[in-house]
Amino acid sequence: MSKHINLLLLASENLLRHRTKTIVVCLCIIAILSPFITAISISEGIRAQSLASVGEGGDLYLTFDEFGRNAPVPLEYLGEIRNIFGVKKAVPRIIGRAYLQNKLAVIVGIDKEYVPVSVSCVSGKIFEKPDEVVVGSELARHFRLNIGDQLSMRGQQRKVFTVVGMFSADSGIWSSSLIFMSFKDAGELFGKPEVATDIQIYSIPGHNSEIATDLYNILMNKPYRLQDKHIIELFVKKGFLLKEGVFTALYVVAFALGIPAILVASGFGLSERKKEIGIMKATGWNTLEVLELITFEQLLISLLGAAIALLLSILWIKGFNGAFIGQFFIAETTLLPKFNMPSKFLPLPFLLSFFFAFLLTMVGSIYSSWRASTESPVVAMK
Amino acid sequence: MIRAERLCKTYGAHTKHEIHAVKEINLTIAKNSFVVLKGPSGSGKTTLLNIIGTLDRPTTGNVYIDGEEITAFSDIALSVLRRKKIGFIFQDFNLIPRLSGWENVSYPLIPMGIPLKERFTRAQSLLKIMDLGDRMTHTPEELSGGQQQRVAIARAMVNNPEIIIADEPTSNIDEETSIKLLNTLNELKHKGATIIVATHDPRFNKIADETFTMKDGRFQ
Ligand SMILES: Nc1ncnc2c1ncn2[C@@H]1O[C@H](COP(=O)(O)OP(=O)(O)OP(=O)(O)O)[C@@H](O)[C@H]1O
Ligand SMILES: [Mg+2]
Repeated sequence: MSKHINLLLLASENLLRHRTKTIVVCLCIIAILSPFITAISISEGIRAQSLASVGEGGDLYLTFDEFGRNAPVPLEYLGEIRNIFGVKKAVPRIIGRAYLQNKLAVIVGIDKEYVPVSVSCVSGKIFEKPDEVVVGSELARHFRLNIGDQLSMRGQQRKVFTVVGMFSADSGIWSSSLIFMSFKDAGELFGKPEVATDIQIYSIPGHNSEIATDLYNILMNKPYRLQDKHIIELFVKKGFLLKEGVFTALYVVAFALGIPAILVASGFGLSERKKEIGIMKATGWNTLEVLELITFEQLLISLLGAAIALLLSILWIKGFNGAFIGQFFIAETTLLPKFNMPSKFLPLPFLLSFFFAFLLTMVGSIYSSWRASTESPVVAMK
Repeated sequence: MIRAERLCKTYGAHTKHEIHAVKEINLTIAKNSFVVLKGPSGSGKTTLLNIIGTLDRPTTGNVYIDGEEITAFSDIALSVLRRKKIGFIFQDFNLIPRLSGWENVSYPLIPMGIPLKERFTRAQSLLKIMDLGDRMTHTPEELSGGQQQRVAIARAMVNNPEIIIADEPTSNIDEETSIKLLNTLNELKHKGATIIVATHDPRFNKIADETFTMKDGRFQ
């Protein structure tokens, strides 16, 4: 045991002794890993947020279908749907877009009691009376809106809203350009009081198929579309896996150059190292001990590199809002208002990165060390 | 006891630079004897010492140490043998650069699992014997040739070896230190070690139990 401790300590001393090489290898590892960790963390963050909002939503989504696209559902069916056995609640929503002066805002009309729990106003309160709205952080900042200010949408000046609450900047990407209002107000704003863009159905577990049958009977001959929460979840997950996959592929190609850099860097000072190994062998070290020492060195340097890369990624996301990399996952970042890039740092990508670095540095060093160590000490010392 | 049978070492075999550095050497070195190897430059002394010291393999022939045929040993078994029995003082020191004197001396003890404090005290006492008590933390680059030589000698003694092989140990050190080294080696011999020295230094003649003279890879 004390032997392995000795070797581990010596490995760390060696990294200090061969400072330049250590720094070069570390920089290579950081350059390769930090964009990767950043991208994965952003992707995971967005995915977690999306899934959280899907999770809060209904178990079934009902829309109509026109030309193969989602179309509004007439409200006349709402009463019947609510009476279906197994339906806990049916929530009609209106989701649309409108211009607030020159900025495109997403309008969500939903009745107050159904507002998702995750929506918390940081300042002010949720809307109560007609024509009261809650606005997203970025919209509020851009138009310097305060509680009590009034606003109206371009083209619909007859409806004047009063700001009663504002989202915080960190309540997610989706809320930054959002305007929340009552279902009725949204219907009036868009001039469609008789329809909902979708109806979310919350069901008692295990009743979805019966509900689907009943809906079929209610909406007989109407072109409707019913989607299950799990399908939507799956869709979101798949979308992100695909994006992560595409990113990884692009990334591997882009950094294929970085890999030889690590290999070359971890082989730096090889002749000096070869001589050193020869001396060690001549003075009683055996090959396994030499290789153990080299392995410890690579382990430490990979750990160091990966840890710095992780810190840098955190800085990248928190400090620079994931510049350059975030764009890849949220295509419209430049069009979207400013928001805090969501992120989630999971242990697995970090471990993977660390192993990747370890593998590369090992490939760069173990073979030559093994060669030097199995040669006659006299030859290695030459 | 060390025995060598028909040792040959050929460098650059089958090329036009083919050199037979050691030719058909037979030799027996009794346990606890002091053996001196002489001969002109290029006569094969270093080559022979390297083979006896297990640092290089002969092209043909066998070496036996305490009855074991070490030329048949695996790489790992040779390491074990070196650690247990052999201390080697190289002609060109072979210290590890950027490591301090005491670290160089105690380097062989690291894989034996000996803790830092003990490694330090062992290196310290050996370096004091070598009159380097005040150069413990100097790196080889900061030491003179003779001082480096003495660090190398201390390192060779750190594992209390039964066999000490020294390749021209006094070629870089002054009269006074040479005599000290001579006495140290002699003391080690009296404690039971076998000493094999390649040297041109006539002072060794007096204490040698046996002297071999090499010429062109052979004993004369
Ligand atoms: N690695 C090598 N490759 C080729 N030839 C070598 C090698 N090592 C030694 N030789 C040759 O082998 C012969 C013996 O060399 P060796 O170093 O054993 O001599 P030496 O007696 O130790 O000389 P010196 O007194 O100068 O140290 C020399 O001719 C040398 O050129
Ligand atoms: Mg020589």
